[in-house]
Amino acid sequence: MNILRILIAIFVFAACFVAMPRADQLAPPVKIEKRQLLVPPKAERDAPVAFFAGPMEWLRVKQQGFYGSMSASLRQMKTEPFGAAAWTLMLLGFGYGVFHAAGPGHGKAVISAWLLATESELKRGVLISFLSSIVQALAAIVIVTVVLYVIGGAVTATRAAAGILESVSFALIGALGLYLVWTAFRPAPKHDHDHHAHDEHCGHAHAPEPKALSQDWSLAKACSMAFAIGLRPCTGAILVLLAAYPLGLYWAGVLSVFAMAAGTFLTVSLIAALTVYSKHLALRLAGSGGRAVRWLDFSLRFGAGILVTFLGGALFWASLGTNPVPG
Amino acid sequence: MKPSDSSGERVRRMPRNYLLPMALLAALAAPARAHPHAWVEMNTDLVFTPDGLIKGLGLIWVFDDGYAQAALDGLDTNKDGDYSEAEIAPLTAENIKNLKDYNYFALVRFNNEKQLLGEVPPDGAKQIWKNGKLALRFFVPLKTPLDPRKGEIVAKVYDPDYFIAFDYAQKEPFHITGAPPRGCKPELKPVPTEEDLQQTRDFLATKGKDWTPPPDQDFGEMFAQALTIACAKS
Repeated sequence: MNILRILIAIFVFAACFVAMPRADQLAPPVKIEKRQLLVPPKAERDAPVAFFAGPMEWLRVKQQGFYGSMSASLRQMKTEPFGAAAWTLMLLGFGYGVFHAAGPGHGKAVISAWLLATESELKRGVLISFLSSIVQALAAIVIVTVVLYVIGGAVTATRAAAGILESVSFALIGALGLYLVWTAFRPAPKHDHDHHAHDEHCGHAHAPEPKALSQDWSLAKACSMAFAIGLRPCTGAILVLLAAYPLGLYWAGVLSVFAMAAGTFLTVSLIAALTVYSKHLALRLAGSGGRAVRWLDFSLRFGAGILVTFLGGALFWASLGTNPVPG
Repeated sequence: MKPSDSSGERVRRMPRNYLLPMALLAALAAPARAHPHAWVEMNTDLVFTPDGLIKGLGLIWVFDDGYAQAALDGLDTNKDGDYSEAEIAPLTAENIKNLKDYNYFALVRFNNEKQLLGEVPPDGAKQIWKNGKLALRFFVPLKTPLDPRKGEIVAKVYDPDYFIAFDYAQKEPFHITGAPPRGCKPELKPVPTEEDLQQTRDFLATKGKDWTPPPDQDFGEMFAQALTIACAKS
């Protein structure tokens, strides 16, 4: 009897210990995000977001407006596949791309940092923008196509696939950052006077041509850069493809994803142009003497490298821990 | 039978050609779209009292995969790879609370009079994740039950802003719970035919560009499919 009581007492005691932390775990505060709702409260839905009140929120809302209209066009195309709705869809895709690229995102930050550190020629910046936009479009198309047509899997599988690519993309970005840091410490290439050896503009009174600094250009590098960034597919692109599929308009979805890429390309090119020109300006200001320029080159590479490494690393780490939240 | 109005002021249906410009217009006019666009495949349940009055609508909405994905994100709190009703419940409660602001996207007219709808209690709705589809199910009561023998009942489910697209399910678009009066049969009006569209075009052609629908009506209602109850005259 006594033994039984003791056993029960021990059991109850132990149960309390086990149950105590459990009670906390059992009721995790489930936070319902705004984007999970079918509809927001009406007051919120009708309140217009002013641009100056929050440019980022404004962009996000615009982006969602585009997505909503794209879905509407797709539905319209169901009855009339080659009507005006098809053109509208393409235009909307383009607009979505423009706004998407202008919104917050690590891709732009990485491209700008990279260009700031290594590039001083606009056309290359534009080429990188182009490549990354195209890779991003292709990534979305490949994922969704493979999942829907090859695996025939559930749509949720696209999310898993997109999540994996996202992690890989972040890891690659981290690697890019490390590479940049390495180039900062690498002995300066002996090119200063090779190209312009007898160029009268190469005197000390003038700044070296910014071109002289862009020695690490190669198509392969540009491609790896575009690959690292673009590998993370754009959520909007995936959503449009998934929306087009059940309507039997998959091809229209694919076309609109390319229209999106065109829009993204436009915005990213502008960002690239701004970046490259600010670097030009910085180089001119640092103008006199190769030393200042070299110092500037070093700090840009080192700073951008550290920044990109941390960005990629942090995003990679976060993407492993939680469900990747596409945005 | 077409939903008609003796005054002739009411537009019957909007041609599809207007649909897209209108959706765009809605997008521009109301820039705050803080929610993803969703498509709903629905089944409407006409719920009768024992004495044959309609007391409300049971709404079953099956969401498109895109919305379901966004909605369910992070709700698998016990990480078992499945979304139980309890796991989705917080979202369901929030959605039902917000849907009230929109009158649950449901509209009931009795002899052309807009009817008042009651409130769905927070626990009056269920969301179920099954076979890869997310479905919401709830009952919207009418403030006053309606007798289909005494007048024309028209029920429509639609989003006037067209950001949620409601479509009746191909298979079993509606069903009945309880006992409808003898000789009364629910009927789902078909989507507009080319003839209907031409009528609307002709009608709109007589109006100026600034014409807007009467205040108690919106464009969305004009092309929403109507669920009616026809009673044999006795």
